[in-house]
Amino acid sequence: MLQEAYLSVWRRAASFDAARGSAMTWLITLTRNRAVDRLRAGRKVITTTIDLADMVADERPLASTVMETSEDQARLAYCVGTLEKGDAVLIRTAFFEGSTYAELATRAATPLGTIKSRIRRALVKLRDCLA
Amino acid sequence: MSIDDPLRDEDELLAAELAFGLLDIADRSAAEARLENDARFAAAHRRWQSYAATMATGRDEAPRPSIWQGIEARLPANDTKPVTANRSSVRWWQASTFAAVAAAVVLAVVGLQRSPLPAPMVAQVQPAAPLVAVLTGASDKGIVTVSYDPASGRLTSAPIGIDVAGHSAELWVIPAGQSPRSLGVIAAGAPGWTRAPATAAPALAVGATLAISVEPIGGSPTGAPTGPVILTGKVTTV
Repeated sequence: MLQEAYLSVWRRAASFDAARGSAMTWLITLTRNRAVDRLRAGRKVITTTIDLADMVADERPLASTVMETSEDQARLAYCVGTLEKGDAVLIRTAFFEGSTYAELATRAATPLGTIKSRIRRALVKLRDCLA
Repeated sequence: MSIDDPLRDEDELLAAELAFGLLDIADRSAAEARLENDARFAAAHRRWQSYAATMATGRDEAPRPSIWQGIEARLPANDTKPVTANRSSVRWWQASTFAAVAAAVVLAVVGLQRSPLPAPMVAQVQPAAPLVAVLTGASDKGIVTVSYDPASGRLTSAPIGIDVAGHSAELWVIPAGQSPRSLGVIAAGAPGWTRAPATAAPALAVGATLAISVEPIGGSPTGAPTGPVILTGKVTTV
């Protein structure tokens, strides 16, 4: 899957439009979308249970050894840290595991409406913090 | 953060939901259709995409080295089967490899000769376009693809088949007619990224030469290459 994504980068590099965002955003978005497309094409959906009551903030350090933390990352990390317990995990899970609202609701055994309003509240908070 | 009037909250949220992949198929299709003809909505979507991507770069998950061997085997230039992918992409790959090999040969034969004046990137392109270089050498030395995003200062390297056993691979930028400036040690077994050092970043421009030398662990102790140069390539735009 990762190979597919990198190959697709090679093939589509010419379609990259610098005016529309940084190379890194383009690369990551393309990689993520390929991964999710692949999951869906194979009718695979990640269904691992999400335990909202048991969630802790993601304590993983943001910077790896070969990468410095940029200002953007530091700021985003700070803002993500201000979210309610579990909200950041839900948002990340959506992005990294390709789970929609409906799938998150099932995985967390929580009503769809609750999940939706919870994530939307977190997104607004994130935007206000980053603005 | 936005230069335009703020979107209605509902639209801002929709842009975020689309960027994070929260919408089901019907809602997603409708939102994607709006990207085409609603510039402000599209701008909000790009902003959220960049947040999502920034969250992604925090994850410390390097691909296994075998991934790169798999990619290498599957790149169009190595295909033994008829190529079904579109032709232009094949030419693009072959052309860039050829250009890099040609640059390496020229460099080896005549040394650092004066190259055509590098284009003043900043003045020409708004925002500055990402730069790339494919570094090649002897066939058994592998390939390293380097990209640089002047907007963020981020330098990424993707090595394939590099083996510097017991040593470090150090990346250098060599502006025409000047001495090499270090861009730091790169990971030899996996893709990685770093911030271009302020001393070397201004030298990253179209036409500059990149080189990788084999150095003691941790990089050159002198600030200049001390070991053999195994790969070189010229900086071009994407």
